[in-house]
Amino acid sequence: MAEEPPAGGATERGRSGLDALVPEIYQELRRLAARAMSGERESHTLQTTALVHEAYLELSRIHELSVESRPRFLALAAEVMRRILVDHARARRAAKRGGGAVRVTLSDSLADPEATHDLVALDEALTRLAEQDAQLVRVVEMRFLAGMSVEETGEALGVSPTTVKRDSAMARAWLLRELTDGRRVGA
Amino acid sequence: MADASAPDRWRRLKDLFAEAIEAPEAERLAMLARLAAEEPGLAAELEELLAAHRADGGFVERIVAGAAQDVLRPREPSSWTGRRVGPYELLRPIGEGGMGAVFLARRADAEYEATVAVKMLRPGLFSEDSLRRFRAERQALASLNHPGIARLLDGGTTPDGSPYIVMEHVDGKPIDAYAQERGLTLAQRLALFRAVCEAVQFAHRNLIVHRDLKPANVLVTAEGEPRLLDFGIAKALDEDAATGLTRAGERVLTPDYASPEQIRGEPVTTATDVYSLGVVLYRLLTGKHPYAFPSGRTSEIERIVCEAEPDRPSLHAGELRGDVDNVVMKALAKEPERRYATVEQLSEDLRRCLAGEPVSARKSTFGYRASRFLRRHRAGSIAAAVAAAALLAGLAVSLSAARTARLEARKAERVNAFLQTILGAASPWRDGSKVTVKEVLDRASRRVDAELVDQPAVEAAVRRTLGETYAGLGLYDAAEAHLRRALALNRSLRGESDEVAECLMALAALETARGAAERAEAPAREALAILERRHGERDASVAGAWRQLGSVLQARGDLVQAEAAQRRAVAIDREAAPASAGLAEALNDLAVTLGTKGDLRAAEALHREALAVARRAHPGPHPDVAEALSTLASSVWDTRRDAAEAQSLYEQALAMRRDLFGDGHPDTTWTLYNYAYMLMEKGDFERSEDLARQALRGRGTTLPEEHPMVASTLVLLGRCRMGRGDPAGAEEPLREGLALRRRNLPPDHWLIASSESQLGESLAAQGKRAEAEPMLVAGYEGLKSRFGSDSPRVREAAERLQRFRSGG
Repeated sequence: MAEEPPAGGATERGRSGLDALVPEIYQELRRLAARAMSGERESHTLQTTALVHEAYLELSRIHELSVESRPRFLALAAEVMRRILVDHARARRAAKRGGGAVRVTLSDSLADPEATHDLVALDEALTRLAEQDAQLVRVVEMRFLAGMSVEETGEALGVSPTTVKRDSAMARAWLLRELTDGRRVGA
Repeated sequence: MADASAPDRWRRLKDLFAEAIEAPEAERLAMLARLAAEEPGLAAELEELLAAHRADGGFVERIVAGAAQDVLRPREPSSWTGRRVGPYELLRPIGEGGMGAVFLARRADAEYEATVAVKMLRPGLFSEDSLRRFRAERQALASLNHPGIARLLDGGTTPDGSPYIVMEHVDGKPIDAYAQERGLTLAQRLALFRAVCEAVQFAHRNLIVHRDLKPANVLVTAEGEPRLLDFGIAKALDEDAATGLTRAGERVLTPDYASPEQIRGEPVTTATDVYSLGVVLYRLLTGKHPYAFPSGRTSEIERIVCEAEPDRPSLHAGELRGDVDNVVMKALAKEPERRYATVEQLSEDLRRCLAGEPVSARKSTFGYRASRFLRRHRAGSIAAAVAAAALLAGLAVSLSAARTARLEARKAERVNAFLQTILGAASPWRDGSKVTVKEVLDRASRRVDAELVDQPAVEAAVRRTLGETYAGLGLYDAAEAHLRRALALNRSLRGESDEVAECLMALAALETARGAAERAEAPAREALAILERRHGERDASVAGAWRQLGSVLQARGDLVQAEAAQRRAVAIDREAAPASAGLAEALNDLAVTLGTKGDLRAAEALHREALAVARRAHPGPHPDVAEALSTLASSVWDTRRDAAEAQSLYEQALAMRRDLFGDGHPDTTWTLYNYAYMLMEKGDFERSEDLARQALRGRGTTLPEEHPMVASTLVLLGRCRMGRGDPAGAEEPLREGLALRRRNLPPDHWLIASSESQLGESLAAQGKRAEAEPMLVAGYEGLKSRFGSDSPRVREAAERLQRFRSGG
């Protein structure tokens, strides 16, 4: 039986095959988000990871995606999810500025979760990190936006779980340092 | 120390970081100290990262979760109440939709008293880009000024980033709920929906597509006026078309009403609104959604909307069967190009449904066109209606004959196609010009000559239909030519066959109708013989032949043989087809014969049975039921002089025939005549004359100049005038009636005698005694020799003569 070339793995070919789905993933996530909002869903779906997985279930069915393509799909979905969140956050931020409100700045205290709520800043930091090391950014997206396991992430990127763990830790540290820009922590 | 190149440095930093976080505390500190000596810059950075690593309390997760919450968390509508949005104060929530909550609001600066509706859009549903685009399009939307469209007044974003839209406030109910509550009839629902179409059309002409039509967006005010909400908002807020992400709006908002192309992310056009209107119409008419989504899963909704055929609306509401069904289904076509090209066309088809005109949403089957043609001409061209009815009836017979004879289906199709093109050419709605049915038939006749020469089976079927149609119009010569040709073709093609028998019966009916019953007996008997040989003596088709023969014999005045033939028909049908139109007809025919013979009670009982059988065969309005009503009415009057029951039956029959055939159709004319006759006998001369005049209107158009009916009606008219004491006014129609009868009936026909007696009476009343006497005598003698002395008709003629002789 002739089959499509495997879409999974970290090869460029595999990636480009699924890339065509990005617009659809975007729509699916937005739709799922809207549905979650309109109260049709239980509250547990108010998490990006749940949305991403649901989007995968839907789209993999529609496009008859192979099981192997799952990690790669989730990776793409994570990227898309990031874009949706950032679009929204930017809109809110622009509105706040437009509305004359004082922009909320990062708190000095890293322990305060409120201090790190600025997704736009995180996004900007991720963009800078990507210039340095794109793989770290993708690990972050996959682990924290798509909720992928270490193993899945490794599979999607074609690296070992150990590498994923190391990259993840490195990325987080680097990002936190970026977000607290100029403030030396614990030094 | 000299730094290595940037990538190398980064790799080293990563390696050192990985090593450090896994090393015990002491080892890590030693490692950092060593590095600080060699590469202080790198050491400092590593130290920063390690500090951040230790401080990391899950900040990425928290940021993401916080942002997601912000996007996804529904905002409690109540939390908005009382707040100010721009210059508006939100009074109370009045609705909750996919896009957000709607509030009743008023201008807080009291610049205007009027209340407005403010829709708070769900934050996060719309990207910054789409909001910008919405602001850009706001102007165009605000200029959409139509009474059926709620105006967009304003829009913006609150200081905390919540986008909102300000609209004209509409106090109304969703269209489906409104119709339900008011108990609107089908016609009212269609009319209301057409008003909705008009508003959508207006927007389309202004190049604005709604894209999110659903009952919640189509409100109806207490005055019954529809108002559309959210026009163009979905589009304005939708994703940038350039990215190909065109389906966000609807998919996010209202998947239940989204079109297949919206679900597939294909371009959205006015056809998309046509589709959604179709769904709204479906709901409005049936109270149900065209599709069921048992699980409500996205994939299921998509699959069903894109692939599943919805149940036809008539499945939920039987009255929708037919055109409305087809209109809704066309609007709901999966492919945009198969739907109505414009909302205007959809609306026009609904208008046609209401007017009983043919709709475009229908496969052009011949039967459909013919039935539309017929209904369309109810009130208009009578001739057209008659022709269409005949065509339809004729075709049905032709086709069933074709089946019986196992004609291959292709032939039946070709007959169908040929007739369809004829009717198509005649369609007044196609070119707007009136075409008489005679012209259509003449054109068809020429085409048969030219086009069907090498297809004898098709030619035979078409000619028989044409022949019966011409006969229905009273164009007997043309009818005869076609029927004889059809007969000859069938004889040579098939020999002794049902088709031959049917042509023979059609010829017999034609000769009877034109008053040449003596020429009808031979073909009727031949048809009977053929059918008996082919199907045995007890077959329903044989009953039909007996019936035809009975009519011929009755028309010839041979009531004894007519009765025998009709009793035979009744006996066969009672066994072979107890609930059939055939039995009802046979009973009626027999009843008429018995009534004519003067056995009125037996006649009435048979008429009642005929009505019961006809109603069993056709529970709704039907020509056979109308026929049975009409004949029972005359029987009730003749037998018992029960004017109340007779009049009620006549009114029913007349209404049904007018509804089925229109004024001027021969069947309607018959009812008019019989009803007028009854009224004349009852002494209600004015009403009788009025109906008689109505019956005579078809003379020369639907009724041939010399049709027997014309003579009867003229005589009736004369008798009314006699009744009103106007013998001079009566003389002319009576003379004309008698002349017609003498020309068209055998010399010893009792109707001639009856006319003579009546004309004699009018002459006597005017003092024209010399001319009157022979008329009165001839009339009496003629009637007596036909019916014997006991018949009421004979007694009537005898009384006239007696009055004359006694000098009255």
